[in-house]
Amino acid sequence: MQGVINSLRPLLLGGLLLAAPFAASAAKNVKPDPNGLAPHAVQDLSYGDVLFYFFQDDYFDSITRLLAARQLGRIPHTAEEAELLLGGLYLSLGEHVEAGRIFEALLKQNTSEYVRNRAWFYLGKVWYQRGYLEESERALRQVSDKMDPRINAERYMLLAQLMMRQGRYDEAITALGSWHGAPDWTAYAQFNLGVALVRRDRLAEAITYLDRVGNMQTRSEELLALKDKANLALGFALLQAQRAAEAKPILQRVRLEGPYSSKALLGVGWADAGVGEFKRALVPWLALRKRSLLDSAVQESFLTVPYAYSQLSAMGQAAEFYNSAIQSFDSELKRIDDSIEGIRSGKLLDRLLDDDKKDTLTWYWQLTTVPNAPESRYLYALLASNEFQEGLKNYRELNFMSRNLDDWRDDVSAYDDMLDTRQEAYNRRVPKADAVLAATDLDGLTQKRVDFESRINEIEKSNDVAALGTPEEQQTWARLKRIEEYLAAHSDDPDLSEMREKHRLMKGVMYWRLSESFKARLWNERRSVKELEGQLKETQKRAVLVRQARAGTPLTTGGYASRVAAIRARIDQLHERMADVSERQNLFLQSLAIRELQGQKQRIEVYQVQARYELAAIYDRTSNGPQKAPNTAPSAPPNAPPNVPPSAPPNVPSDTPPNTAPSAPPDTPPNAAPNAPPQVKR
Amino acid sequence: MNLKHRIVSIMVCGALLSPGLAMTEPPPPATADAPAADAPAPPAPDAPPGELKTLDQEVQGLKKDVVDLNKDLFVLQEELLFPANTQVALYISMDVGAFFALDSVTVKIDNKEVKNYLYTAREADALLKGGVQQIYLGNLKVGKHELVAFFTGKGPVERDYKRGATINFDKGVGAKYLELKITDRVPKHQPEFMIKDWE
Amino acid sequence: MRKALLVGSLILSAAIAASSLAAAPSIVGKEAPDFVLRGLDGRNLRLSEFRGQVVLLNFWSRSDGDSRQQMPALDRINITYQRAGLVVLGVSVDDDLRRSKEFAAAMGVSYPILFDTGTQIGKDYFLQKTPMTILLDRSGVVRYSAVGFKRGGERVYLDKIRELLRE
Repeated sequence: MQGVINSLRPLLLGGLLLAAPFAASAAKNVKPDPNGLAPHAVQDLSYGDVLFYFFQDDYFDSITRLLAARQLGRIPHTAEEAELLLGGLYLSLGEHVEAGRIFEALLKQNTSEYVRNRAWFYLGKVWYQRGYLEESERALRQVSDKMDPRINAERYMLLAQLMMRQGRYDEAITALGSWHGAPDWTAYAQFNLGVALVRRDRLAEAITYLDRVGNMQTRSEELLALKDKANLALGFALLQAQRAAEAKPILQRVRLEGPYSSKALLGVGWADAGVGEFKRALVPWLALRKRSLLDSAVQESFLTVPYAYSQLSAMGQAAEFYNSAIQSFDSELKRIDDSIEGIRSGKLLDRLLDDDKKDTLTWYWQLTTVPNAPESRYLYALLASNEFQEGLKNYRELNFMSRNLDDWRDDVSAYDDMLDTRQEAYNRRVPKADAVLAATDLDGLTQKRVDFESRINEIEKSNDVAALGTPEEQQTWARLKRIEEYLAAHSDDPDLSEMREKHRLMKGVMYWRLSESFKARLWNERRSVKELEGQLKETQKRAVLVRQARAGTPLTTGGYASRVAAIRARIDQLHERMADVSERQNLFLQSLAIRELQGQKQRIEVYQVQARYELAAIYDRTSNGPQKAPNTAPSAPPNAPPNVPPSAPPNVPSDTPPNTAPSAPPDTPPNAAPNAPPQVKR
Repeated sequence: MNLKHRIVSIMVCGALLSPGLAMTEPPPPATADAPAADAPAPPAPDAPPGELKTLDQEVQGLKKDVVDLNKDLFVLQEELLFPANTQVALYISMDVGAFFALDSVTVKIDNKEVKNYLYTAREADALLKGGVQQIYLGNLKVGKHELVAFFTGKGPVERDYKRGATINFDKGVGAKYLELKITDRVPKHQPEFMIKDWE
Repeated sequence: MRKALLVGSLILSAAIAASSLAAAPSIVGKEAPDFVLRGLDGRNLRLSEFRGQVVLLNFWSRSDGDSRQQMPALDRINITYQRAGLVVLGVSVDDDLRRSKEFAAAMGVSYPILFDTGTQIGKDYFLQKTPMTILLDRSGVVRYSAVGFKRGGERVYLDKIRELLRE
């Protein structure tokens, strides 16, 4: 019995705990906090432009504009913040080396602590995701503790995870142990800690933590999944430690309708088997057997069921079940082969990206829907893995950029036409422009208008009715004035009295008439001034435009032509490179997928071999009589050869061989559960 | 006014209006002087002879000025005051020392109201400044006519005034103009209408 | 306004009833005939003295409800746009001068109310029915004319007024 369980170990734990990822929503792709990378007050218009695209998640456009603005010297005031944003944008496009360089350069300067912390944090996060663990740790350690608790929590999680991935469990334990974060994070932290402890064979301590998580009250779907994982891990750890009886109630905590129920069912069966209750073990195993063969736990159940029957001495049934297993495995293997062929044909990625909204490049894009294709069913686990997702993202980005280049190529050829036309137009217009500019004396005109206007105001104020007279009226008025002067000079002359009277009368009549027309004329003058003003404005505008046009066109449009040609050449080159890289990326992802499938194939083959072996043993026994002891004939219950981890998730370094301390590898994002039913979600 | 009228009145008005003035037409300076001259000493192109010459010149100068003046006035008349022969022109003017706000003027000729004019503040002000309003221009038959005019207005203490004046005049063949002056330079120092007949 | 004109206008409007409004003579586009009238405060106002400003001329009668309803709206318009160069003038065409003056005094609007007891102005402006509201531009040309008034009707004037003020 013990041997049974011992040899089960590799399968169980290799297949399950090894596969059970860390619960770390820490590494989940969360949208970058714009507050961290971009300041609120925008001092340069061009920078605002960049932000506009950034906030719409249009990072590609954003980065383009930012680089352009920088080159054209349009963001003098926000240079620093712009650098930060640039760094962030490079990150979003996966240019972590460049981003890192920018951040490090910036951080040498004098920026606010708040901003530095965030810069380091993001840098650390991305490096972690891409597997550059050392760099990640370095960056994360730069972040001070005095940060937003949410960021702090994530930071600690990441640090702990890195350590666990590098096998530095003790350090991880210390790190997590001393840190107290928000309740959600605490659960994850405890889980990871528990798993780390299990790996170090510190089961007693592990139990405390895993149990705590396994018992928590929660309604959140994520935390419920975590709870299941914890119980699963604990259950299997106990099974491994030969404490089957304790394992059962814990495994029974796992939700039946949850993602881990298959493994739990398997575990429960083993718990029963572990205390010799094979009949009871059949219950969960038979239930499990009915499920989809894609699940490795189900695959295993195909063998554990006949095993149980054989333990119960029901050889006939055992043989039957082994046979059936062999056949099922056969067909499954065939299906896998077909799928591999399908993938080799190269259409995998395109099918995956079919539903994708193709026009933005963002930081946090992930594949969310899986297409309905035969190979899809095998790839859920793979697709959920980080490595694949990142690779897919790259491919997608390359696609995007390729389309972008195509657009530019079209535009560029238009530019050529534009340049030709422009050169001609320029040649025609220069002499005219020069003439116009020379002839416009705007200042003089404007001054005249001002003078004119103040004159009118004067006239109005002083009620100078004579000033607005017609030329004839003004002549008359002048004459009257002359007469008046003469009369004044000869005021004593009595002969002039009649004339004086007459003059008075005439001047009076003139005055009355001028006064009557005054208001109307005043308005006319003002209206003329207004019209003049309007015309001046027009002329001013035109003069400005002419000057601009004159100044703005380079004397040698030839300069543009060669730039256009050079750009076109670059576009072509890039296009080629892109096609090349795309192809390579495609092949890489294909190979990942195929590797995954082959892994599955191998596992099934192993099971198949096992089944055949057992079947043969049964036939032997039944044909050779009951001499051979039941516990020698049925040899090893289904188990995996030591050196084949049933399904190591490609992205988790399988740092320990399965038959030494099998332990749960670090938890990657909740959706990277290779053997779990599809849960590809963000 | 058309050209025909103009020509007629040049000859007629000149005779009627300038009793004290010698000429009807502005004489050309040098040549006309000689025949009509009372003044002695024809101007010699050469240097004038001593003090006599100076006085002579002075007098000549004076006459010239007067003549010019006359001419100007005459021309002005044409342009400003021109009524045709059959026409009668009425003018309103003001000459008041104390404040007076003219409100309206009503004119009746031969008992028929020919004008009722309301004055705005601006217009009243213009009158105060020496403006003269040609309030009426109409045709009248030759012969006797009666003109009655009265004005209303407000004095400094808001006292409403209404004053009138009457004149009987003879309309001759030529034009007639009458000036109706509102003035307070009269014994009671209150605004009154004074009518002047400009023969 | 004399009763004669009122009766005449009744007949005229009856005759017009069947025909299109376009047949009615309009003052729009013509220079506003000048006039001078005495105001409620005893001052005389002459229309042509307002050249250079935009004038809203409102012919009204105490006896019709629309006229009465319109006055507060015009008052508001005057208060708002006076400083921008708008002049609002109300011209009462009532025969009963005393009653009309009493009413105007009671309304206490902020713009001048003038009283026309003659017939010439009405004829000059083709006045047939009160209230009639006219807008003159700064050159004294009639640019808009409307007869009658409904609650909120002043909104139409406002757009026009603003347009004219901007000229």
